[in-house]
Amino acid sequence: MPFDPIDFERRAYIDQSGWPIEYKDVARYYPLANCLVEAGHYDYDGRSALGSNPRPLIEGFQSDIVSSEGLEKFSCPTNFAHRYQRRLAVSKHVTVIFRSNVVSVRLRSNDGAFEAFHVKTLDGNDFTVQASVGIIATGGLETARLLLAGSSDRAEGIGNFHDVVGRYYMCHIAGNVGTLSISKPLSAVRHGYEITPDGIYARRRLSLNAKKQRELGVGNVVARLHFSKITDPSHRNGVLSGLFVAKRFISYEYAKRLNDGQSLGARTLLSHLRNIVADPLDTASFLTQWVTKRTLADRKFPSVILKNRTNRFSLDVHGEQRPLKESRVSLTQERDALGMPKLNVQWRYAQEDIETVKKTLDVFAEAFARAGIGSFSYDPEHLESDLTQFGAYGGHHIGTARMGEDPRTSVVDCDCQVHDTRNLFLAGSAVFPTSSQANPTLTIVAMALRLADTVARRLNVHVASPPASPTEQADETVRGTL
Amino acid sequence: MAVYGSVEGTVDESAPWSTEAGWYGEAKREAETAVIGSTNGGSMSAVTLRPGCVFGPGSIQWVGRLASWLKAGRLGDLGTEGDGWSNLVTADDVARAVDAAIRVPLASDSAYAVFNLAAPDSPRWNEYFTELALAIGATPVKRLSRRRLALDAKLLSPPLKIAEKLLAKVQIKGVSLPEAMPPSITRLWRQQIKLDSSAASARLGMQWTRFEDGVLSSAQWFRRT
Repeated sequence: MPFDPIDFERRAYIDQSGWPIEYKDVARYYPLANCLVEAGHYDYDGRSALGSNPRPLIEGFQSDIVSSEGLEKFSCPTNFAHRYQRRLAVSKHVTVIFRSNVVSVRLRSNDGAFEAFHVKTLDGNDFTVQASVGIIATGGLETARLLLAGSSDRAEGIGNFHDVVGRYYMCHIAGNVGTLSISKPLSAVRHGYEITPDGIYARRRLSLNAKKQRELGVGNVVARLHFSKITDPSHRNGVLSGLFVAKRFISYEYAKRLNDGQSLGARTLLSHLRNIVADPLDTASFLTQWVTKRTLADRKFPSVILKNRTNRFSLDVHGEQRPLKESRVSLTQERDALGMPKLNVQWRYAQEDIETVKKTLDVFAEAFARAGIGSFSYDPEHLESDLTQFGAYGGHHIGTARMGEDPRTSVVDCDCQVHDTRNLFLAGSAVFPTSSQANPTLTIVAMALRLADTVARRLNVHVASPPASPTEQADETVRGTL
Repeated sequence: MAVYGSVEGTVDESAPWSTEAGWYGEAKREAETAVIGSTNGGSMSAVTLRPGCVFGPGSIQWVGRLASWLKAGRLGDLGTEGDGWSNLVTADDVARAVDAAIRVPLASDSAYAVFNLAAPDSPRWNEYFTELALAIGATPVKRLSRRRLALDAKLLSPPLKIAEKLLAKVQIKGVSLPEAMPPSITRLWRQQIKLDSSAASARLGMQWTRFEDGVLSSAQWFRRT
């Protein structure tokens, strides 16, 4: 999903917020980015993206401040190497070298500009790649590691005169919270995945509008309707109980959400077993769906979604984390197989991040009550542990080489060029100054397209402007030299 | 564009042909060679037009057939298998190109010219399939795996083709079979060849029909037939 315009604003209530570029500078690349990640047409409004006469998330839920029309859309998931291998192989302008690792960056001795990458492989190859321009695109953690470790000319690291590289490390604040009880028929709620006419899985989310966020002084948060706490057998769902009982056989990332720290008593186990036995058809149907629509399918059903018999849901929260200088990654003394220092990750969050979620949930609760569709309640005492018990949200590594105008609080400028190192650029979520509520991939791709245009202009090569419509019109004619 | 064979990349009219082109491509090459020969050292002039895939109302091959497969769920988003460029050009644009080729004088030192014809906004096959599916209501668009496509083209198509020929021989009426999906077409859908038609734009003054308009008129025709 794309970032929101408010994510780019300087918000007085969030220190270090604000991007040195505007939302529109990135938004023009979103349609092509959306196409490249195989998420269909660029339309994230449930009123238009889901075909004609789409049904709402909850019948009868209307609010001026809480939207339930925003969508998240799902890639296949796309294996970019596999999906675009042929295009890269055919291109006269691209050479891809596999299984090679950049271990340091060489800078020119006279002016400190980028000169070359030093590359090593695990089987002992060692070579240099020289270029007019270098772009590091190794992700939110590895980008910081390379900048910190990667130059013998700069003891403090590249782009790190002011000790910013690795700092302001953000993920997202996420977790399942509370119970939403909807006082409507089961058919009035569409909590699962829908399919857009162009064949993309999509799901609706709840969010506060920008005006309310500013009024409350909160960050950007979304919530999805999710099944009730798996560990609580009162959900009466055989599949959920089956997952809980079989958690030892499930992969770590999913299984950790099946542990809420409480031991499994005999009574609870019996209740779970009763759910499994009482629900054989649903369980069989779930397994069949899982195999056909996920294991064997190219475009995979995104995650476990089950029939809800009680119209009771938890809210699956995904919220912005504010930038904190003390949340950081840094180098250790330990070395990896290529001789590079390993990383130490110290993820921190602010109490205001928890407050953001609390205030947002309170507004949601009020909106549900006012609309007369049900009630939402949660335990404020448990909120922080609900949101942080599984640690940093896996896979979203943001902000470790952030973009900004002031080199004292940023690593790259608005063109993603490292402040004190000409012709060295960074791509990826490392450069994001703030994290938004959105998963970062779509914006990573959009920013990469923007960076490609920037570099092409610098090198005076011809490229097509991003298309006005979602139609992909890649112009592969490159005139000039690279 | 069959003359180019299995060439990939952006190709203008001077691009070398691949060594093999199949029987169809070879026939096109022979025809072009014959046309060049007919200019008789300059006593006559000739123009060859190399259209990509001609679509639009009336195109069974690039509208009717594809639309039927989309409706039947045999075609959709093919991932890597549909990542080739479609090089679409409408029949109307081909007709305009023919007209221009007759009227626009060649360069004074040349008796022969050749022009690629493909709309510059012609997308990759996957996008064409998706937009055509949306336009004819064959939704939601399916994502088909490589395995599924191979099954259709290599296992299902040969017996379908045989059955089609048998039915024609015995003249049984009123029986319609699903259309076979030949492996040659699945190869085309993944071929990364993009026709450069800037010469036609510049020298024939081509004003190309927009892709969206081509899809719309194609869908309207399909719905009527």
